[in-house]
Formats: sequence, structure tokens, C-alpha cells
Amino acid sequence: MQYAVVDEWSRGGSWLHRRDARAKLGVLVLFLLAVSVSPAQAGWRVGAFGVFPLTALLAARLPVAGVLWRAAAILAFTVPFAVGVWIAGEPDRALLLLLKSYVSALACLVTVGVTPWTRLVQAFRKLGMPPILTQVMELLYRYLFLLAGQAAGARTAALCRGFAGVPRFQQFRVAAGVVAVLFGRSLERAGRVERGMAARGFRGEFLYAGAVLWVWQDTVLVCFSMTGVIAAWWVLR
Amino acid sequence: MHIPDGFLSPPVWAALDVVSVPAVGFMARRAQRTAADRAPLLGVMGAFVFAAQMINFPVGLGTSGHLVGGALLACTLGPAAASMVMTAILVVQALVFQDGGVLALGANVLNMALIGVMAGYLPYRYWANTPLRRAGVFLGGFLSVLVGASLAMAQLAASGVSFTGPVLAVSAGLFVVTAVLEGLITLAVFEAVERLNPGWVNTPAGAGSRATGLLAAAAVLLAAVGVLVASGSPDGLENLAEQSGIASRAVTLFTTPLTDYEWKAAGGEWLSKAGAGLAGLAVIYVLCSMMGRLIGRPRNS
Amino acid sequence: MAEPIIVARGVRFTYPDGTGALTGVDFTLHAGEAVAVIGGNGSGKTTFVETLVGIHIPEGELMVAGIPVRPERLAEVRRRAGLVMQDADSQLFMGTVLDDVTFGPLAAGLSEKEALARARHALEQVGMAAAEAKAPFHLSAGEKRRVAIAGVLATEPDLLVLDEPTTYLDPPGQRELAALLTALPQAKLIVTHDMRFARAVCTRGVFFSGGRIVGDTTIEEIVRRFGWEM
Ligand SMILES: Nc1ncnc2c1ncn2[C@@H]1O[C@H](COP(=O)(O)OP(=O)(O)O)[C@@H](O)[C@H]1O
Ligand SMILES: [Mg+2]
Repeated sequence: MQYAVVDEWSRGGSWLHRRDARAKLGVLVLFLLAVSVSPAQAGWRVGAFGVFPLTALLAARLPVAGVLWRAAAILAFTVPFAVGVWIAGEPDRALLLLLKSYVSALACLVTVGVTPWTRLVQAFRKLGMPPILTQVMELLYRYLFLLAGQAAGARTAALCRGFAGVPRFQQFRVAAGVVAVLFGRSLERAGRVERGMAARGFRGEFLYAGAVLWVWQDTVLVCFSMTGVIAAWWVLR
Repeated sequence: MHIPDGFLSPPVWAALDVVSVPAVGFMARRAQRTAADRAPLLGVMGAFVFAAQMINFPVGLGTSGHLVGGALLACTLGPAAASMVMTAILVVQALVFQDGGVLALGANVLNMALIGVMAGYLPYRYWANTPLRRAGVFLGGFLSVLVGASLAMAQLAASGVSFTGPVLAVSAGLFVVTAVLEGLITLAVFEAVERLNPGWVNTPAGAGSRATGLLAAAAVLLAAVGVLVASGSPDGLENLAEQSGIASRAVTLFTTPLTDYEWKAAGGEWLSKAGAGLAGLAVIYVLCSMMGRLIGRPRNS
Repeated sequence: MAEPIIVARGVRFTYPDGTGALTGVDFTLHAGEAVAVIGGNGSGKTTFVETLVGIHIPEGELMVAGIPVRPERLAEVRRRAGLVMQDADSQLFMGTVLDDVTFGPLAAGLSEKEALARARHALEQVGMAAAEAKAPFHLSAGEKRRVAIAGVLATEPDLLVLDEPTTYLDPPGQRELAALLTALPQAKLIVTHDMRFARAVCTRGVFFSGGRIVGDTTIEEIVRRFGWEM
């Protein structure tokens, strides 16, 4: 499963990993903002912003090639688009779109790669996201793997039982049946999770021990990154 | 269609973020009221949507599609819960899967989790207890994708991404095909789910008036088509923006030090496009709040 | 003699779909006792143990640690009884192993420090201390089971209820669990198909059939009377 490896990265122990998720989110948003408002004239030099996520990547000792490759997933969407823009007669704009989207995706991936999901969600909660939304995000992530496994299982089972031999128009119905069963199983699972959580004393709130507190290192991170990003933006302008 | 970062111009994504934050807050309050303490249910169903997207629906020519899910969730869990689930999915997709941008989250949430889900629910809401029930489910799936994609196109156009005639025609064609597919998949899955257990689908209380339903569906469809057409010929929207004075107000609104440079650099053309985008936004916002009120209206139960 | 931990008289439960899972259970469990719950698939074992923490509210009389299992008393019941569910994935809902095991004590109102200490001790007991930073979904089935057990041990309940705890555990894990449970002073109710495990931990067994207890005697006698061995 694709996200399992990102999850693995996020459980590292580097200095960046230990920073408050709010600091990292703040830096990420500032970075994305700087990339977004960098002018068209900067052209390919916008790629220079990539230095920031790359530095973070190295500092956090994440697998460089792996992260760069994974971030390239964004290109599947952006390349066709950029080609269209190119054909429309704006090659500079096409290049800019590619660079901006890739650098942004990379920064985002690095942020998630150095922050456990739970901490990110806690940060969202502290930043004022509605509790129902943060809880849904937390549980969604938790059960993603399990249900994806079930879906893969159902698909394999369907294939083993001769799915490919079924006529086309029937395949559609079979697939719908598989999704419907998955739906039912998910509802049932949800019911059991709900009861299990209640039995363990869940009353509408996730409780954590040892919540991460904002320390001076977090301030350092924010100040340094802010200075760097704004300076880079100033130069490219 | 998930818009990545780097595609939307600052005024467009910023305005969409500003619009969707309170809209999500509103839906969260509704969800909390109707689905209180059901976070486990919504979370697991969010994971379900991810998992369901792994199941391919063959459509011939060696291609296949998959469920998007907004309309299906709306018809089973109800619109507020579906909005929450889709919002959470979009956040996870943006952060973990690089599917859609972070600054563009406002746009994506508005297109797919708020307006898309509403558009997916409306036909079903009004036709669930009529002979048009199946058509309502299909239309819901169809609209949820078409409306979301058209809005995304409009937002891109407003950001200055130019679409030539052929590109626009091809994308519009693709959207319609994807939307029909989503309608078919939603209907097929919905019926299979209902066969497994009729209690799993959410049947709105009271008979919806067919006329209102038709009207609402037509309005959404018109809005979608209109936005698509308008994005092809931004002049129309520009004029509208100029006449209503939105463009001039938008300038004062967005002349912050950070964006100042780009305003000057890109010149007047860019400015008017942003104005067009804002006008589109205003339309969307009104539409959204109207729909919110329509659906938020207490039911006769 | 002290008040029994569980008193069940004529306990009945029907699922919303009409399945009559419990058809009149009579049962008493005293403090310090360890009882094995034995019976065929679908005989109502899981349903019964789930009623003990109020997952289902049954009809009839059901008292846990002197508290009736009623919707308004569930918080109290759940502080006294801890259930390790048959399916660990429904039970582990937090992002990391340590967060999950810490949740129970925190929900019971303990301070963060105490909760952490208890959680670490419980993980130690089940041999999962090294995995505290892992995500539950990265664990093997047996490891998930161990963590689920730790989650209940950390709350130090008066009554430990375990639903097929040895499933997925390797033989050394089963042996260690038996030793651990034997050493714990609490009352225990253990659903199991493993008669060697039952003999090692329990002194008494109840046999479920058709949603009722049809035999309440020694493990040996149950094995003999119901032919309950391979
Ligand atoms: N959620 C449910 N809804 C309806 N019937 C159920 C549900 N869970 C279990 N049952 C039924 O109740 C009976 C008892 O199940 P259970 O207590 O799980 O059995 P055991 O644990 O002894 O194998 C079975 O017939 C089972 O099919
Ligand atoms: Mg069972």
C-alpha cells in the first residue's frame, strides 16, 4: 500500500521529526505561498525553491530518491496539462506550472514524511479544525490500510473465480457487487469499531499522553525557514 | 479532478480557501448534529471510499473507471456526513498522496466535497420517493463529477490557464464521459447495496416535490454548463464583473504587498481574469449558501 | 463470601435482524475465579461476553461488579470490566501502539504520567515494549492481539474478559499468556477453543449451546461430556 511507506518515514527520530507539527505546517504553508506568488518572470528559476524541501529531506535522513520519485506522482496530472498549455502557445507558463506543482508537492510530501499523522491531526485540532473532521481524518487513516487490504482481497478472489471470463457488461455488475459487499463490510466494521471504542471508554475525544509542547527549537525552525523562504522569494522576484 | 498547487493564481485559491473554511465549518456543525458521536462511522466509510477506488469497472477499449464516491455517500449517509467524509478524504489525498494541492484545498473541497456532494444529493433528495428514484441516483453521480470538474476548469481559467477551443472541447468531452461513468457506477453500487440491506440507504423523509427537484437539478446543471461555457469565453464573465464592480473592489481587496508584484507584472489582462474568477466565485458562493439553506431546511418529520 | 463479579439470570439478547443470540443465560463468577467459556461457532459466546461491557444491552438480570448493565451505568461498568475483543482491529483505534494502550487509563481519568507508566508496564507484560512507536496496522495478527491485551491490562479492571485470546498467537506466546493470566489476581472469563490453554488457566468451564449455558463444571468434564477435543 502506497501510504504505508510514507507512514514509515514519518516515524523516524530526526530533529525535524521531533518538531511541533504546527511549526512544520506553518512553514509548509509559508513555503507554498512563496512559490505560489513568485512571478512568472522567475521562469525555471522557481525550481530553486526546491532547495528547501531537499535540505529538509537530507536533514531528516529520508530516502532521497524515494521521496523525489513519489513526489513525481503529481506529474501524471500536471504533464498533460502543461502540454496543453504549451500547445496553446505558452511554453514558459507550461514549465512554470510543472516546476511550481512539483516543488509544492515535494514540500508537502517531506512535511508529511517527517510528521506522524496523529501529530498532524492533533495540530489541525489545535489550529481550530472542527473536532468531527479531525476525528474522521484520524480514523480514516487508521482503517485505510485494513479496508484497502480487504478490497485487494476481494479483487483477487473475483479474479480467481473467473472474473475475466465474465462478459463485459456483466463485469460491471460484478464489480458493483464487490463494492457493495465492501460497503456492507465497512459499515459492519464501523459498527464494531464504534462499539469497541465505546467499551474502552471513548467519549468523543481522542486522548493522548505526552502531547508535544512548543519548545524553542520550534521557534528556531519557524524563524530560520521564514527568513530563508522570504529571502529566496525576494531574490527570484 | 484534483487541482494541484501551482495551477491556481493567488487571488483565486485564497478566495476559495476563504469561502470553503466557513462552509466546511457549517457542514461540520450539521454533521455533528445529525451524526453526533458517529466519527467512527464516518472515518471507516472514508477508508471505504479509498478502498472502493481500487475496484476497477471495465468500460471497454481496455480502459476502466472507478467510483469517486461523493454521490454514493450522500445517498447512503446523508449530505452533511458525506461532505465531512469527502473533505477528510481530500485532506488525506492532498497531504499523503500528493493528489491535489494544499493551498488548492479550498478549491478542491468546494468543488468536490461541498458543491459536488450537494449536486450529487439533490436529485436523490427530491426523487427518492418517486418513480424517478433510479434516475435520481444516476443523475446525482453524474452531476457530482460534472459540477466538480466544471468548477475546477472555471477556476483554472480564472487563474489565467488558457484553454484553446480543441483543448476545452476534449476536456469537456472527457468530463461528460467520466460523469456518465460515475452515474452508472453510483447507480450500480447503490442498487447492490440496497439489495444487500435496504436499511443501509438513507431515504429522505417526506415526498420531495418533483417540480422543485427538477428545478434544483436544472439550476445545478445550468450552473455547471454555464461555468464551463463562461470559462471558454471569459469576456462574458469579465463584462459581468466590470458591470457589477466586483473587479475594482477585488483589486483593493487583494493589493497586499506580497501579491502586488504579480499584479503589476502580469498587467491588466491578468487582473480582469482574476476579476472574472471572483465574479464566478460570488456566483458559486451564493449558489452554495442557497443550497445549504435548501438542504438545511427542517424536514417535515 | 464476597459479592460475585458477574451475576447473570435469564439473560437474553436478540440482534436487530432478529437473530436470538442469547436465549437465557444463567451464570455466576466469583472474585479471583478463572472460567473458560466453551461452545460451538455461533453459540453466543462472543455476544455474551460483549454484553458484560455493555456493547449490547441484554434483557434479564445482568450485574457486573454489583453494577447493573444498563445504559445509564455503562461508564461505571466499563471501568470495572475490560474486554479483549475477538477482532483486535476493531479494538485498536489509535495511531500508535503506545497511544492506544495509554488511551484506556487516560479515559479512566488517570494523569498522563500514571497512564504512561501503566501502558509501558502492560506492553512489557505482553512482550511488545519494543513496538510502542509502531502503527497498529503494521503489526502481525498475533502482535495486534498482544497489544489489545495490553490495552485492557493497563486499565487494571476487576474483571478481565478475553474472547479467543490465543488465536494468532505462536506457541510460546500462548504459553506466556497462560503464565501471565495465571499470575494476575483478577477474575477472568476466557472464551477459547483451546482446551490445553483452558486447562492451564481455568478451573471451571461453561458450555454454550443455542445461546444458553448447558454445562457448568470442570474443564475435564466438559471435554468428556461434549466430546470437545480433536
Ligand atoms: N451483528 C450481528 N447481527 C446479527 N446476528 C449476529 C451478529 N453477530 C452475531 N450474530 C449471530 O448471533 C449468533 C451468536 O454469535 P456469536 O456470539 O458471535 O457466536 P460465537 O462467538 O459463539 O461464535 C450467531 O448465530 C451469529 O450469526
Ligand atoms: Mg466468537
